[in-house]
Amino acid sequence: MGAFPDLFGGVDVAAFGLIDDEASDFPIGVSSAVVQHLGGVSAIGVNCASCHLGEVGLPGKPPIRVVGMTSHFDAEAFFGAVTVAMLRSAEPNGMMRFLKHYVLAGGLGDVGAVEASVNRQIDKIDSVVRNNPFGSVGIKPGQLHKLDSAALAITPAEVIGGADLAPTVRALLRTFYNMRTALHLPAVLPSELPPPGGPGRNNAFGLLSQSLFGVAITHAPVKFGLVWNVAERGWVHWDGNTQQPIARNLAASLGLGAPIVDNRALLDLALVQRHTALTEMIRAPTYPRGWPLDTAAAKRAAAHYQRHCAVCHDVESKDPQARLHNPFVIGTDIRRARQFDRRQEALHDKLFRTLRISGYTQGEAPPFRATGKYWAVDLAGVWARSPYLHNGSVRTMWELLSPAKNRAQTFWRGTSVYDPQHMGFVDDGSFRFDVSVPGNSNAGHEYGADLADNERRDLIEYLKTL
Amino acid sequence: MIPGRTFRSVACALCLALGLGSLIFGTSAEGGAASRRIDSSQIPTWSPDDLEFFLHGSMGTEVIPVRVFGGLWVPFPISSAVSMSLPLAL
Repeated sequence: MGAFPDLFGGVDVAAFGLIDDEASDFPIGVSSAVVQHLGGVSAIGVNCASCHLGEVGLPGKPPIRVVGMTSHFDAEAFFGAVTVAMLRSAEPNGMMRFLKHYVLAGGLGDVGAVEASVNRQIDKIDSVVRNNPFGSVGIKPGQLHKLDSAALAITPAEVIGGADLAPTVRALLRTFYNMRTALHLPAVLPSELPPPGGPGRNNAFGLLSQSLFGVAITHAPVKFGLVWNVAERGWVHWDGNTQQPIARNLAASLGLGAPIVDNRALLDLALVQRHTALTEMIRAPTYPRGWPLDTAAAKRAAAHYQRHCAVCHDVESKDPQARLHNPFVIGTDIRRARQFDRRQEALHDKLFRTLRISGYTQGEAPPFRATGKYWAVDLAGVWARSPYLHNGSVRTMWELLSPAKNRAQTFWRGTSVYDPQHMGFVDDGSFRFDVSVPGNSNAGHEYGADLADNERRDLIEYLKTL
Repeated sequence: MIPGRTFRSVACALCLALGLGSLIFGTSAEGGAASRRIDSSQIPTWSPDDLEFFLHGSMGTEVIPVRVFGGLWVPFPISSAVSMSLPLAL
């Protein structure tokens, strides 16, 4: 265990909803690379798969993995824990605690001897931290330190041998500075933080606006988007605000750790292009063979589908307007529809027009637009879209096809166990979802609410076949 | 929670032995990662290398030095972290 186990909830990657990969040293969606601005050391980050590959399975059965499905990764909690841990290390006691673990993470060494050696230099370490707690001395905002690689590479044997730890502590404080700069984070957290979004959701555009433009906007957590059949869509995201796939993924890279220095993005465009090309090829998942499916009921429900669903969800997806619907008409939580407004459109378009990314050109049409509406998504693979609505506030399709007043006010999130009868994850997991939290409303979208229970059951069987 | 690697390996081997593998394992993109239980019909044009890149390929976001991560939380790979059993008192 590292220095701050209370922040991370144990050693199991499932604590943050990451999926262990039996064939890799890293969980699914975690990449590693040697990073020059971090001192030329190996570092980890997250990619598309951390948020867009999920597990789902029947009770008592091993889950299958669905590419493009919303995962249970709690990205905000994960990066929040790392951020708080860095800030704790910006005070002497925290640095002492972290330093011992950092040294021991660098090779084999006697734990007690390392601890004793670090303790002997407590006054020196205390002084270094107090003089530059956030590593910001001697660097202009937005720039990156050139790090002392040799000091960072210190070994347990060197520490036990009495090596001076001051250069290592300075280098670590500057490392944290570079990490925060790459994540576009301030040294001091706001006094008031938004409520946790929970697994499989984040406030992506809110965080981008705050970090890249310094503009605080409405808190609107949404479910990670479903990434299949995206090549058939002209515009993506819940409000249909982005039309260039590469712009969508560059924004993700910039929000997750690719630094911007002197208006130049430090990333390899070819890598983002490859991820983009691959995501364009993902097809919707078919309902698994062998799972409960009443084909007779599905046939009976074709008319219900046409009446309640097809009118919005089956229209031309390349049409930039045909699938957009006014949130006041749908009645679902309005925050996300209103979050990306004209100002956000201008800020994002300007960023991508002026930001230098080697090899990237914006093209004639601006990549972003403000719609103020919600996009009626394609229903292929809808069986794997639980929980439903853009904010993931309705656990099952049964509830979504029911009057809003009958939907659960709270439920648990994070399990991969599936309920095929009601179409959705069972009420279990590590996170308690509360629809009374701002942004979490489960109101609206009451299409099908007038169905009788047997008709609702039939329609669910039909939806499994899409 | 995620079960242990050994358990998973045994479970996957049993699935294959029982002929259930075709239901849960891919074919065209599975390569050496058959135990990942991904339905390859979703990604018919991906090569094994494409799948590996999707799962672990960089998109320029590497921001936490592995050794720093080990100091803050847990060293990678996870299996070695568990076996290291560093005293919490630190």
